[in-house]
Amino acid sequence: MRLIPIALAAALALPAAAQRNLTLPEPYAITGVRMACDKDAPRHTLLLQGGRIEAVQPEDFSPGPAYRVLDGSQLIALPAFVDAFGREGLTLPENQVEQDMPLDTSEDVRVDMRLANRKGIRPALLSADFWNIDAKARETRLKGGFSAMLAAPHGEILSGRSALVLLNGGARRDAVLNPEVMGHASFRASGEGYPSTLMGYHAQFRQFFMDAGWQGELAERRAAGQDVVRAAFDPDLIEGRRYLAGELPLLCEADTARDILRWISLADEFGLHIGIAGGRDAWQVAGELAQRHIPVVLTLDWSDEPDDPDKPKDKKGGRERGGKGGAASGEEKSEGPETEGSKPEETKKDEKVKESDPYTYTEPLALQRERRRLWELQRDNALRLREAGVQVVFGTGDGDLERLQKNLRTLTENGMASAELIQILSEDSARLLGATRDLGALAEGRAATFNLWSDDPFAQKARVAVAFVDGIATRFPEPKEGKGGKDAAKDESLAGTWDLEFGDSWPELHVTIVLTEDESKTLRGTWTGTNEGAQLGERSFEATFEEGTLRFETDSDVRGSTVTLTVEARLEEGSLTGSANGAGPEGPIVFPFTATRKPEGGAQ
Amino acid sequence: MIRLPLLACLLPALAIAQTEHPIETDATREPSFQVGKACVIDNVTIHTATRPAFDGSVYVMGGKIVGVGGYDGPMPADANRIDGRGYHLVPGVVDNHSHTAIERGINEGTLSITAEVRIADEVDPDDINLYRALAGGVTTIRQLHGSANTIGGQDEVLKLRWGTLRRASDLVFPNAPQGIKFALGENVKQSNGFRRSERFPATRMGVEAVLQRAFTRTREYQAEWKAYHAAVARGEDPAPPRKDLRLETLSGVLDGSILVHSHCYRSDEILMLIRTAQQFGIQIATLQHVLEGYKVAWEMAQAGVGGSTFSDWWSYKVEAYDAIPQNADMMMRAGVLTSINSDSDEMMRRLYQEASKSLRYANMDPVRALAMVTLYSAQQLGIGDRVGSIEVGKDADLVLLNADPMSGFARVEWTMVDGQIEFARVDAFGLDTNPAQPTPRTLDMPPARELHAGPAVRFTGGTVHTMAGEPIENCDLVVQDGRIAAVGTQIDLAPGLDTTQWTTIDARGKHLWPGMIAMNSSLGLYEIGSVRATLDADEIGDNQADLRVTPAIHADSAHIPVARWTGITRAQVVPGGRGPALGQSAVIDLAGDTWEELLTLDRDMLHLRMPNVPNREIKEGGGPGGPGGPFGRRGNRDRDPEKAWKDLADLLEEARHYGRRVHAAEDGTAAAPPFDPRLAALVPFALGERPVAMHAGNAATILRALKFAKESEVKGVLYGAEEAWKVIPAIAESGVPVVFGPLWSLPGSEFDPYDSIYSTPALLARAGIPFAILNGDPENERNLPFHAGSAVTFGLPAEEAARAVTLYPAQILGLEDQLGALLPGLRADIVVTDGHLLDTAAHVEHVFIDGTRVPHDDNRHTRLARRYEERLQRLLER
Repeated sequence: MRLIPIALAAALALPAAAQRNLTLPEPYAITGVRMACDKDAPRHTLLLQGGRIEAVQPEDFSPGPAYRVLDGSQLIALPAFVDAFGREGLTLPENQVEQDMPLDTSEDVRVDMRLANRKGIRPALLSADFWNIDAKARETRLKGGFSAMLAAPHGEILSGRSALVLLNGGARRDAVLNPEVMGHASFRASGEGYPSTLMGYHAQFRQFFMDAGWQGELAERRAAGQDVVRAAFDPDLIEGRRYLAGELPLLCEADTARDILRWISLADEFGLHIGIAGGRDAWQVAGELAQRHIPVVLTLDWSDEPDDPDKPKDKKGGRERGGKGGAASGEEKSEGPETEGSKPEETKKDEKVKESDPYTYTEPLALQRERRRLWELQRDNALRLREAGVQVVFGTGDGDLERLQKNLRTLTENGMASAELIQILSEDSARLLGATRDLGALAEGRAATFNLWSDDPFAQKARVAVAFVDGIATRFPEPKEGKGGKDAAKDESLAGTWDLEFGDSWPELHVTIVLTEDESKTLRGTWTGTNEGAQLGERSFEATFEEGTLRFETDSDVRGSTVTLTVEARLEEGSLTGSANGAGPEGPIVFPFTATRKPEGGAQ
Repeated sequence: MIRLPLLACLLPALAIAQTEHPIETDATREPSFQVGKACVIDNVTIHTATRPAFDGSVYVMGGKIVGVGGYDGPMPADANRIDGRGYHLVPGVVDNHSHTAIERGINEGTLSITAEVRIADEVDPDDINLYRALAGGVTTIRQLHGSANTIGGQDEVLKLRWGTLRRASDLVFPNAPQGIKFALGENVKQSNGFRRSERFPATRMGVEAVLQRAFTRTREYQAEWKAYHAAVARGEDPAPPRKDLRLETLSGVLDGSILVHSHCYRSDEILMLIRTAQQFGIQIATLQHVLEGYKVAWEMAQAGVGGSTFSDWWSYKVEAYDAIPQNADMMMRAGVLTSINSDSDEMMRRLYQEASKSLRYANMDPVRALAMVTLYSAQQLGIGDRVGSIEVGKDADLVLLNADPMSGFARVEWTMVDGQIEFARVDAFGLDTNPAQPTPRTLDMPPARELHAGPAVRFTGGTVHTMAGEPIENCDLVVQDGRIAAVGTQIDLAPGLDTTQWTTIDARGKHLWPGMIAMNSSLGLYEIGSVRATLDADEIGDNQADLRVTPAIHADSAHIPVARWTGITRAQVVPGGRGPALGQSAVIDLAGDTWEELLTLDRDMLHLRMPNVPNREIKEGGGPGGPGGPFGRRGNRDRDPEKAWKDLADLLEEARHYGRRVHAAEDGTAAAPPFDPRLAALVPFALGERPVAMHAGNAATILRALKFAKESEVKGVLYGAEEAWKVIPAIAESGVPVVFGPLWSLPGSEFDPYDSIYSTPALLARAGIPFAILNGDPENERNLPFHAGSAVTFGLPAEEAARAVTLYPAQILGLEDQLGALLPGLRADIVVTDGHLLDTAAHVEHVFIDGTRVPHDDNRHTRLARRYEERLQRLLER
C-alpha cells in the first residue's frame, strides 16, 4: 500500500493540533504524478507548502526531508471539481413575507401594489449564514472529486446571494471562500397568497425593481439635502439597487427555452446581468445565449432515459445503453456471472410474455424512437451549447451528486472529451465564480486544492485516492478487490479519529473516539468529548471489529454519574452508524449516532 | 401547380400489428408544401365573411391578400397556383376568448385586483393545442386571464404558427390593442367552492364596490402624477411618486389605452358593469360569455358594448341556466357587435361549426355567422382592419375547407398564416385512400301493416332514411297506432279506406329519420352542474350493482325537451360514480310526465368502470382515461391497477358463486345464502346473460377490458374507448361492440394524430366493428348529431354516421325490433328535417315519439327567447 506514510503522519500530527487555533497543512511532495489523464502525459513532482502549491518540479526532483513524500506514480493529479450550483447543506429559513401593513382582504381590496409584500423576494439573504454540510455529505463529495460548491439559495423569485464554500471540514468561517458570489432567481415563491402564478412572479419582480429604483432616488435626493419623504429601511430594496447598478449578477433558474427567454427579457427590461442555471433545453436558444455572453450552469436534469428501441436487449431484459460508441455503462450491467434460471432470465421471459400478450399495450416502435430522439436532444445539450460558444459549467441543482456524476459519464460516452469536462468542472467553474486564486488549476502559487485520482475521473472504476483541500489531505482507501459494499468493510482498518454526531436527539453531546490498531490487530480506543458544555473524562477501551460491526464498552460521564455504555456501530461507505446504550440514573439511555473519520493531516 | 388533396399516409393502418398505430411528431407536422412569397388559389369558393360566397381566385403576395376574385397587378412568374376546385376558402378563425398556450397559471386569483399581471409572460409556444387549433382553421387567438377575480390581468393576442423551434415572440400579433380581463358573478364571488370565500367580494354588490373603489383610487393616482408632471413642467425638481404597476394599468383603462373585456353572465351584472363604466368614462370593449346578453341586448347596443358568447353552452352553473342558443343572433339584431368564442382547447378546433349553430337555432344569415368567428371577432379585438375577412390588403390568414364552412361537415385541408402554410392535413389513417364504406343493406323491409280508418299521420313526398339501405326519395310514410305502418314510394290503400281522421304532412324537400338514441346519457339525472342538489348520476361506494337510474329520472328536467329539439327521441340514462360497479341504466323516451311514462326499458345494462391501466409508466397528462381526460373524471388512475382488476374479477366470481347457491336453494339441494342485494344484482351480468357496459378510455385499459370480457365470459360493450383507434385489430377480433365518444375530445398524447378521435368511427366502420356514437356531455346532449357529424367530416359515410345514432344504438340495446329504423312495425320515433340529420345548419321541423307528435321547439330556451324577443322588439321600435 503506497499511502501508508499518510496514515503515520496523521497519528503524529494529532497531539500538535490541540495546541493551535489552526493546524497547518503538512508539506508534501507528490512524486512521479501525472497532471493529465493521458497515459503519456509527463510526470512531475508536486511540492505543497502552507496549503499552496509551492512548485511543480520534474519527475526526478528530489524533495528535502521536510516533505512527506507520497508516491504518485500510479495517480493523476487534477484540480478539484466545483459544483457550480448546489443546495446540499443549505437549510434556508422561512421567508418573512409580510413586511408592510397587510390588508384584511375579507372586507376590502388594496388597489395599490403593496409596498412590501415580500412573497418570493429576499435578495438580502446570504446563504453563507445557513450553510452547514454534514460530514458524510462532505466526504461523498470529496470522494467524487468535488471540493468546492456554490451554495445557492433557491425557491424564491429573488432567493438571496450564494456563497462559494470549500469542503475543508472546517467551521463555516473557514469554509466560505466568498460569501457573496451572485444573486439567485427563479420563477417560484414559497407560501400562500399573492403572487401565485408565473405572471404574478413577473409582476412581483418588476414592481420590486421599480421600487428599488424609486427608493434609491429618494435616498439620493435626501442625501443631497432635498426635503423628500424618508425612504423606508429596507435591506432588500438596497440589494435590489445593486443588481440594477450591475454590481451583482443574477443566476436565474430555467430549464425550458421559454423560461430562459423570459429571463433574458426581464434582464433587458431592467438592465440586469444574468446567467442561467438548470438549462435543460438551452440548446434551443444557444444563439441568444452566446451572443449575449450568458453563461449556463447545467444541472443535467434529464427526463428518465427511455430505452433505445434499436439496440438489442441485454441479458437483464433491458436495452443496452450508451451512446454513439455503443459503450454500455458499467453501472447498468450485471456485475456477477449469470446462470441458467437466474432472475435476469426470468425477467427476459416476462418481457417475452408481455410482448406476445395481445391484451398488453406497447407503444409503436416509431413512438419509442421519437421518445429516444427527444431524450438525446436533452443529453446532447452541453455539446450543442459549447459548439455555439456558450460558457457552460455544471452543478447539482436540486439533484444529488450521484446524478450529476452519472450524467457526466454519459456525456463522455456521447462525444464530450474527458479533458474538456475536467476543464469545465475546474478551471471554467472557478473563473465563472471568481475564484481562480483558490480553485481551478494546478500551478505554482495556487491553492493546493486538488485530487489524486486512480484513473481518468470518468472511467468506470476511477476513484479519488487523496483529496487535498488547501493542502490538507483526506485519504480514501481503495476498496478491497472483488468485494463491494458491506463485505468490503470487514477488512478495513478503523484506525483514526472519529467524530460522533448524535443528531437532534442529543444535540449537546459531542464525542470523539480515537482508535488505534497494533500489529496483532487489537483495536484500542479513547472516548472523550463534552456533554451540555461539560467535559467528559477521557476513557479507554478495547474494541472488536467483526463482520463490519464495531463493538466496545466504555464508561462515560452522564449528568454527573458514570454510566457504562455498550456501543455498537456498523461501517458502511466509510461511516459508522449505531448507538451507545446504557442504564442511566434516570432510566435507560440510547444515544443513536453516526460517526465520520477526521481527515488525516489535522483538519482544524 | 400544387395538387390537392395534399395528403400523405404515414403508415398503412390495416396491415399493422396490434399496437402499431400512426403517431404524430414535429416531423410529420411539418407542412408538406409551401407557397413561397406569392400564390394564387384558383377556382375556389370564396367566403369573404363580408358578402355571400362566390367562385373565383384569391391572390396572395408578401403575406398579404392582393386580389380577391381577380387581380391586375404584378405577380411573380414563379407564383404557386393552387387548384381550389371543389374547395372553400375562408378567413382564418379569430378566437376571442382562449386560455390556450398559457403556462403556470391562468388565474392570479389571490387578490380581487391583479391588473398588473400579463398573460404575455406566460405564453407557451410549445403547447400542442396551438397546432391542433391551426388544424381547425384558427389563425388568431386572444389569450385571456381567467375569471377568478374582478379585475384580472392583461391579455395577449397571438398569430398562430407551428415550427420546430418555437418562440413566444414569433407568435405575438404586432401592435394589437392591449386588453384586460374583468370578471363578474359566481367565479368572482367564489360561489362554487366547497367553503365560503374569505376573499372580498362574496356578492354581486361587493363586485360593484370593487370596481368603484378601484377606479376612484386610480383617479387619485392619476392626480398624483399629474401634479408631479405639472411641477416638472414648471421647472421644479420634485421627487416622483411611486410608480405602481397595477395603478398604471388601471390608468390605462381610464384613459382608454387598455380595452376592457369582461366575463359576465347575468343581465343584472351586465347592466351594472355598463353603468359603472359609464360613470368613470370607460368604454367596455366586449362582454365575454354574456349568456344573458339577449335580455339586455338593447342596452348593450346603446352602450356600444360588444358581446362574445358561446353558441349553446348552458346549465353548468346557476348563472348559465338562462343561456339560450339564440343569444348571439338576438344580440346581433339589437345592433351589438357579436362573436362566438371557444374558451376551450377542444372547441377551438371547430368554431366554424359552432358558428353554424346560429343558422339552426336562429336562422342567422351564413355570412354573419361566419363573421362571428372571423371578422366580428377581429373587430372586437381592434384588429378587424388587418385580419378576419378575405379582402385586399389584409393579412393572408386563409383556410381551405373541403365543404361549406356552415355545413358542420367541413374539414380543414390547410391553414395559411401571413401567406405561409402552417398546417397541411396529413391523412395519418389512410382514410382518403382506403375509406370506410357504407353498409349497403342492414335490414330487410318488412311488409306494411294493415292500415285502418283510425287516426294516422301520413308523410308524403319526403326523403325517407329508413336506415335499412339507401335513402328513398319521394317516399311516403304512414304512422298508425304508435307504429310505422307503411313506407314506400307507392303505398296502396285499401279501396274505400276512410282517411278522414288521417293527418297529412307534406314532406317534399324534407328528410325523415328515425329518432336519435342518446347513449350514455345523463338526461333526467343532471340539471345544473354546479348545484349538487340537482345531480343524481354519481352514487358513492364501490359496488352499487343493484342501483337503477329509473326512479331518479326527473321527467320535468329542462334538458329533456332541449335534447328533443335536435331530434333525440330516446336516451340510455346511465349511472356514474366511483365504481367499479356503478349500477344499471335504463332506456327512456323523451316525452312524458313521470319516469314511469318515460320508461322504455328498465335495467338494460350494468355499468362497470374499468380500472385504469396507464399506457406507459410515465404519465403524459390529460389524455382519455388520464386525470384530465374525458373519462378521467370517472376513471381516475388506479393506484394499483392489478389489484383493482383482480378485485373486479373476484367480485364477479363471488356473484356467480352466489347465483349457484341461490339456484341450488331453488332446486332444494342446498340452503339459500344470506340475501345480498348487490351480489344478487350482479348474477345475470356475471353469467353473461345480460350486457355489461365496460367504460374504458385509453388503449391499455381497453385491451384489459377485452381480456376481462373474454375471461369472465361477460357480454361486454365498450363505452367511451377514446383510444380505440390504437387497438382496432384487437377490438375487431373480440367482436365486442363499441359505444364510442365523445368525439369532441382532445387526443390524449402529444404524439396522437390531431384527428385520431375524430377518425375513430371511420376506423371502427372500416374494421367492421359494431359501434354507436355517444355524446357524453350532460349539459348538451342535444349536440349528439353534431358529434356524429364530426365523424362524417373525418371519413365516416354520412348514412353510417346517422345509423351510429339511430339503428346501431338500438341494436346494441337489443331494441332493434322496436327502434332505430323507419320500417313497418317499429315504434314511430320520427324526426323531420330540412337537411341532413347531422348537419349543424339543418332544422328539425317535426318530432314524433311513439307515433305522437311532440312539441319539439317548446323548451326552456325557446320560451326565454320568445319572451325577450318581445322586449327587444318593443325597445327597437322606440
